[in-house]
Amino acid sequence: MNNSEQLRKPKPYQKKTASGLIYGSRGLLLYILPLALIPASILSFVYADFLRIIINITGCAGFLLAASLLRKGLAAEAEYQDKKITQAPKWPLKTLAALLIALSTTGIALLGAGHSLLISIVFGLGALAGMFLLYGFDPRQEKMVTGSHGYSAEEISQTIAEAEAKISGIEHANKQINNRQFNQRIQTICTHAREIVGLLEEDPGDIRRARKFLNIYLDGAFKVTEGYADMHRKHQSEQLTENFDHVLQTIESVFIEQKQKLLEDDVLDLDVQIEVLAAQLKHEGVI
Amino acid sequence: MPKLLKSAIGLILLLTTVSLVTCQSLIEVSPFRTDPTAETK
Repeated sequence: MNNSEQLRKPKPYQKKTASGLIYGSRGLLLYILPLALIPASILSFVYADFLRIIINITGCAGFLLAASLLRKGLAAEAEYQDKKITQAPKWPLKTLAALLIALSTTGIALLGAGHSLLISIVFGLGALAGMFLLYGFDPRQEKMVTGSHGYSAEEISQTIAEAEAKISGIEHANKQINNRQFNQRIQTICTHAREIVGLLEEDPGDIRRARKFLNIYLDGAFKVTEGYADMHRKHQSEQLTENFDHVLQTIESVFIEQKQKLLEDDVLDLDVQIEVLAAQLKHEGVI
Repeated sequence: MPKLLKSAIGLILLLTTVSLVTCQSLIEVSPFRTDPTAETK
């Protein structure tokens, strides 16, 4: 198998399933537990007991809001666990959900079930303890790969997020191009780009070179793909297609070289390559 | 404490407390509720 055949058979990118937890079953219990409050609200309507209508509906809304917050908190936690370098989730959603459950349980016990204040607080604390034992606490610490690379987790996660946004942009533009050969080549480029981002996450010491590379080449690849997708819709030109094919080949080889260079940790050679290829892309009118 | 045991205790606590108070709230408005004052009369 020659080099170009190898390049055209990319491994499909698969996002880790843990971040897709939002669609999983964890946290659904909280949607089921307050279901008894629905017939309670209906019966309160039937008997025109306005105080109980408000109590039962508010309690039910509190439980459902807590369930929604918990699901979001669990999804944020799964994403946090997936990433090697990241900041803690912005809001402690699981804790907020637990507090809301405790408050709703206390309120329903006191006003709906008619318990004393002390017993109601005991119910609330029991629910709070249950929430923390079952779902745990929110992650609060930033995750960082150890090493003296001089970048904060925020800088690294921002660089990675920007790169991923550009890759997604290229993939989005790729969907608008009706050319199987280009689609396949662009997908290969995206796969290589994601592997480079993965290497960055593993070794943030490479971020200086990778930042330069991603700013020039990934941005260039995004602009040229988006531009071609736009032009391609308006009019077909053989010259344009030929130029685009040439540019894609250049970008693809640069991405492979970047990946290899990151693996080899060859700073000087990479910088030279970047300068040469930057000039080449400039000459092609990409950047 | 093992994680499984923690989760089991948490599940039991959550199930007991929340379902108990919500079901009691339902019973309070249900037509089958026995009036506690009726027995003393």
